[in-house]
Amino acid sequence: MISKNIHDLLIESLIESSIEIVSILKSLGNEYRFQILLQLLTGAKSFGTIVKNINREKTAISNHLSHLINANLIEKGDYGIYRISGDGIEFMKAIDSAFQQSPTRQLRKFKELQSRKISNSFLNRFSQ
Amino acid sequence: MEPEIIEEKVFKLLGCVYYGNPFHSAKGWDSNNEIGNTWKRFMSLENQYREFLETIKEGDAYGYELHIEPEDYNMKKKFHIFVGIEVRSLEFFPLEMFYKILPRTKYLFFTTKYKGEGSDYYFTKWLPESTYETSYPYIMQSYSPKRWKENDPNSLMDWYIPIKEKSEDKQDDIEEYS
Repeated sequence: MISKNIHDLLIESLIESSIEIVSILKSLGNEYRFQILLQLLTGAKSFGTIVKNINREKTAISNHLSHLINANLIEKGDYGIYRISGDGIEFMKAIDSAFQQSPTRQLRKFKELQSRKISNSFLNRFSQ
Repeated sequence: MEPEIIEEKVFKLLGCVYYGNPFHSAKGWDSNNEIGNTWKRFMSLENQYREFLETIKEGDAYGYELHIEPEDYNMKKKFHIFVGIEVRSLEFFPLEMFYKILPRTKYLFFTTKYKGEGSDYYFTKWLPESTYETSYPYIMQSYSPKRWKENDPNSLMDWYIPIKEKSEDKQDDIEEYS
């Protein structure tokens, strides 16, 4: 039996799900849809509240909401209230985690930590 | 004398390190303190590996002396010293030596006489009144064979201070109070 390493399993899984994944990434990869998801992370909202907060035309917001519902990232409940779905929460968490843990951001954070001023007492050692 | 601003640069150094209070045995610029001993150690290795080092050396400076301030310096009075030469990117180097890559940053560059006479002008007057502040907690001195001779009061040495532009509100303060 040939054992597969984690990297191979990851590639296999991503290839197998690529159509669905790309569809979800397209749903997330829009500024206004991302703003809607962020809003709904703070709690369920009515259509009117979302329109007011996003400051876009109703038709545009309605299209974005339909897109997010079709991707199973949000749900429409009774009385026209929208809430983020379990999938939506998981994808938002995964995006944040991947972003914060990425080597590029980690390096940036580390550089910021290392970048600090020289203390006066350290410089004063050179005063004659 | 007006200092120069050196645009962003990454120094790659190869040399020897020391951590502690280098002045516990001898003070200041005494060659018998731990900084002097680190230089002696480096020069001995430099002599041993001269042919190899000549193939990787960069720049004209004889050598660099780097003082790195740790976060607990004010409490412990101990710091890191690195002495060495500037080199190109390395994949292999003598095992007894250390390879140091400094962060990409601008530098305030100025020259002083032997033992750093007048360097405090740049730290206490020029820098606070400029639009710059130190970017990393280290300073670096460099010595050139044409201008430096031990115990010669006419010797000259160069200084590199890592700097960055002050944040906008600090610059506003300078303009407001100048």
